[in-house]
Amino acid sequence: MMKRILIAKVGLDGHDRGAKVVARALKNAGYEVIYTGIRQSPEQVVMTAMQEDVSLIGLSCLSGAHIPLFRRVMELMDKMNLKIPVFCGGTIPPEDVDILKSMGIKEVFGPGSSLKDIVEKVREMVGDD
Amino acid sequence: MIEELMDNVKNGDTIALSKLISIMEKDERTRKEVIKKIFSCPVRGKIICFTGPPGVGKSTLIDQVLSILTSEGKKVGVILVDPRSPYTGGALLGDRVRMQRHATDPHVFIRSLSCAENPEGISRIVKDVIKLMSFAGMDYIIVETVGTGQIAVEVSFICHTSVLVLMPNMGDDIQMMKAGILEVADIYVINKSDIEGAELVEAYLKENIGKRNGWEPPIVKTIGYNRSSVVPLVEKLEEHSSRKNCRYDEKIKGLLTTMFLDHVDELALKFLKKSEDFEEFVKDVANCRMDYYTAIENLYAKFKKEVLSNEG
Repeated sequence: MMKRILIAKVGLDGHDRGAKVVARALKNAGYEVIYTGIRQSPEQVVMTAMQEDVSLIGLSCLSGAHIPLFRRVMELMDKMNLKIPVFCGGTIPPEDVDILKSMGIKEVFGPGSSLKDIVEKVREMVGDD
Repeated sequence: MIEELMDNVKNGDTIALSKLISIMEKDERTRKEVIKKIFSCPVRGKIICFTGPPGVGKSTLIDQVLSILTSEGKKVGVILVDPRSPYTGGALLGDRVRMQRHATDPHVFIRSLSCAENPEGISRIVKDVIKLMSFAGMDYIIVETVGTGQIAVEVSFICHTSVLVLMPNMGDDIQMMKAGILEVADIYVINKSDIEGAELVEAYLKENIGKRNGWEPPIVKTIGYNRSSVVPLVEKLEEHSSRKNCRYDEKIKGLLTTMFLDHVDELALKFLKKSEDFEEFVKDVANCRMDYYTAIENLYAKFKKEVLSNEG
């Protein structure tokens, strides 16, 4: 069975191009990608990851609210004892990368990231069977 | 570990349910083991299958059905089947997008599954996941499958009620006849019925659907985003799935037939792959040294001797 990856748009922005492009690249790389659509709450994202039993979660946010929103996702996962690696992308300023990584987020892909790079890092994060 | 997971599933642990579905998807032997253990638990949940061509609004309809059922306090499990690429093995499972408002409802459990081009593969897994959700105490189990054809027919054997979703302007009546699943649905839905042309679809359906075993399949017109238009559909669902379903034995007969054929098919394919004689027959037939009827008779004799008599 293929590894499953959740791509989720957290928060209130509607800029879903990036999330969709990443979702499609991962699909083409042979993963099963579950896409949540836009305007998801951290609760919706965590419950979806749980029900779909994914191996990796990709969060996207372009509203500037990534730090509080992603922190809430990490806290909820912790509370539910869900141990799933998380990566993120969006309009994230370089100075926020360390803050996000200190929350436990594995990789941060800001504007200009290449799909090749994302797919490679995803391979590392989900691991092979 | 499996035993513990099963206990937790029975006690309503959704994380355990999610994990067990993954294990069953991955490992055929465990899947069969689990089913053998839980099969005697009575099917409490009503199993409903939504099929129809892509884009007619199945996911949106299910979203409305979910909000109506959960407002009545029902627990609902949803299985969403989307296609997987035969080239990369990848899949984009996006049916959830339409029903994410139910993601945090503890009474709703939604799971997406991908299906490759072979219908046997997916219906094997889907029917077992249905059983597991039933074991987990769901009052309703809703399955959404893509498109038409074989998968829909096979899944319909496992469901109490099959709903075929159509919409206006899908092409002429020949297209519908081609679909080939008009015959198996218990309820017909014309979604997006505010678009012009809904009456034509309705007229065609009326002409082509007859009474079956005392049940006259209703035609329900809905507008996916309009909750009140979906209420009559839920009433019909309840009416059909709760009436003493005289076709259920018949459906199980269909199910066992397909499963048996599937089983024999698998044995036969395995035999052909290993058989050296097969390659010989291929050469003989290709060079006109033997006719194909004789080749098949000989091949079957070998299959019977080497496989069937050793099967025990």
